Amino acid sequence: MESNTGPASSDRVRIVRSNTKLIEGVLQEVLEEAQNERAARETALSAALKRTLKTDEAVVPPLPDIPNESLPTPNVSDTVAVMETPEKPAPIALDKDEIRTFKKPPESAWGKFKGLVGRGIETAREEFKHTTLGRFAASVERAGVRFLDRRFIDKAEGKFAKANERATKTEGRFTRHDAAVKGLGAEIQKLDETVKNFEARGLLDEKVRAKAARERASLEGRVEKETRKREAARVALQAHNTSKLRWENAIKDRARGATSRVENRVAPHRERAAELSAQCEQFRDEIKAHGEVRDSVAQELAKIERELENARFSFERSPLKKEITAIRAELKRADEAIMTRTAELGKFEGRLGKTTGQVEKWSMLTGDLERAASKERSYHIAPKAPTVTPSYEHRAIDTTSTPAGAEHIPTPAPESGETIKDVTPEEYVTIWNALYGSDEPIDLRIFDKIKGASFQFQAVEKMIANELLNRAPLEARTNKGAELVERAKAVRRLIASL
Amino acid sequence: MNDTTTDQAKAAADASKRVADLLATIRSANDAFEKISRARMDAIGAGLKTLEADMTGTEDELAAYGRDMSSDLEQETAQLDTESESIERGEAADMAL
Repeated sequence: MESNTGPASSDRVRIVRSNTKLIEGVLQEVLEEAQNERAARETALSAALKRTLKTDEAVVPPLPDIPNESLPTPNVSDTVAVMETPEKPAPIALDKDEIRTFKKPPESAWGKFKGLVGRGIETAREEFKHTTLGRFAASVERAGVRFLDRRFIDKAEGKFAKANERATKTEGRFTRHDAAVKGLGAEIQKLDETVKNFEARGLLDEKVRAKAARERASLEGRVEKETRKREAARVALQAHNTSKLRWENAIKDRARGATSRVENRVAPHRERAAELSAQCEQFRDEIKAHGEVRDSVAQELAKIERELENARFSFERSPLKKEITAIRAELKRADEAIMTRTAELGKFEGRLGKTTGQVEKWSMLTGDLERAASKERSYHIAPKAPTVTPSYEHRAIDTTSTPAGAEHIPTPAPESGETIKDVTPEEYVTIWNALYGSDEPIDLRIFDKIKGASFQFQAVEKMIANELLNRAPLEARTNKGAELVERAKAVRRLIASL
Repeated sequence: MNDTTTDQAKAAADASKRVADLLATIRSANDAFEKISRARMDAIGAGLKTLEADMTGTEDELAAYGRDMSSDLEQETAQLDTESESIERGEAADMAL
């Protein structure tokens, strides 16, 4: 089978020239398949392309004719190589006439057909947007932020309540152990007094003394055990407070962030809606005023007509007929204008009401979020442990020192009635890292250069704020400062509760 | 008789003037209303169209903001949950002492 083919089908031509019956049979099958496939595609394509493509020839250029001279010399090894690589698709052999009639390259045309199908999907999607279901789907999607934020805040509120519940139980536990420690301490005191009393009365022999000592040791053991449990409860209470504070901060951050975002975007629309509402109101007044003019003219006309009815001769009415008819026409024109404009205004007000409703929904959301952000939440106060051995060398508090260059670092102003406790940098950093360590950890080494110095609480805050501001990019420092003030407040609250 | 005729003539002239005035009044009012109401409708219509488009755009933007936040929220919630559970486990261990 001699044929002209494209360059991609040169291997197939070699197979043809090998005169092997098997290969010819395979070729015949492939050719028939190709012809069938081509016929099916042409039918489908002609139907699809006719609908959309005006100039089929211009879009899909014909394949070039390949001269026989350019065909490579047949080679048996080449044929074998072709037969041994099944993963490589065999090129389809077509004669010159076939190539001329089959002007659309299969891949390119098929790609175009798929493109048409794709455009069909896009069109269908566009049409879907205008259906009732499509509009509903769009409104649900737009309302996503509402459900999302509320869902998170509801969940966080629930978590806060749960942590609070645990803290209440722990507080009860702390109180029980604390009472036990105090009770046992009183017992020991009483035992000591009794021992002294016995001693004074000369009743304290070795045996009694040993028994008293055993009882005292037992009491001390119980005190130690209760103290350990009390301390564990205190630590747990602090952890619950930290957990509560983190949930509270999460609620506040999210609520404030979403409120600010929504308000910034929606407030201008609210103002414009109010302006349009005022314009509608003014328009309604103008329609009403025009209606009043129309009514007064109609009344005056009726009055003149009544007077004319009393005229002695009908010719007296004749000169005015034309003008009266014109007035009636103008009255009709006024009626129509008033009716049309009132209807139009009604449509405007309906649309404006719908948009205002959208704005109001967002306002309600921000109202809810603001309430969530400003809600007062209580914390359980865990009394500080009686003895603390700081690992950091804590010296006397210097109430005057402030880190150099930290005068303009943002720290929260003390609130009225707020007592700011002094803490060591180590304590402050521990609390800070417990709250914000996941995204902004503080290394205690930032205090190394002034290690041994003493600080006021606010000086520690400023050192940390300074460190974090230096980490932030220059353009983000204003926002960062506000964030740091909020975080410092949270740390203060936690410290105050300890 | 002459007086009556004169009165009738005066009345006719007066009626004619009143009718002319009325026609002028309503025609002028109609023309003015047509002009004003057209301008008002154009202004309100254009303002509404822009507002509706902007509001839809804003809602889309806020919805996208909400979607962007969702993964952050999930992570944050998961992290806080883990911490809460850790506290609970720690406390349970302490109580068992």
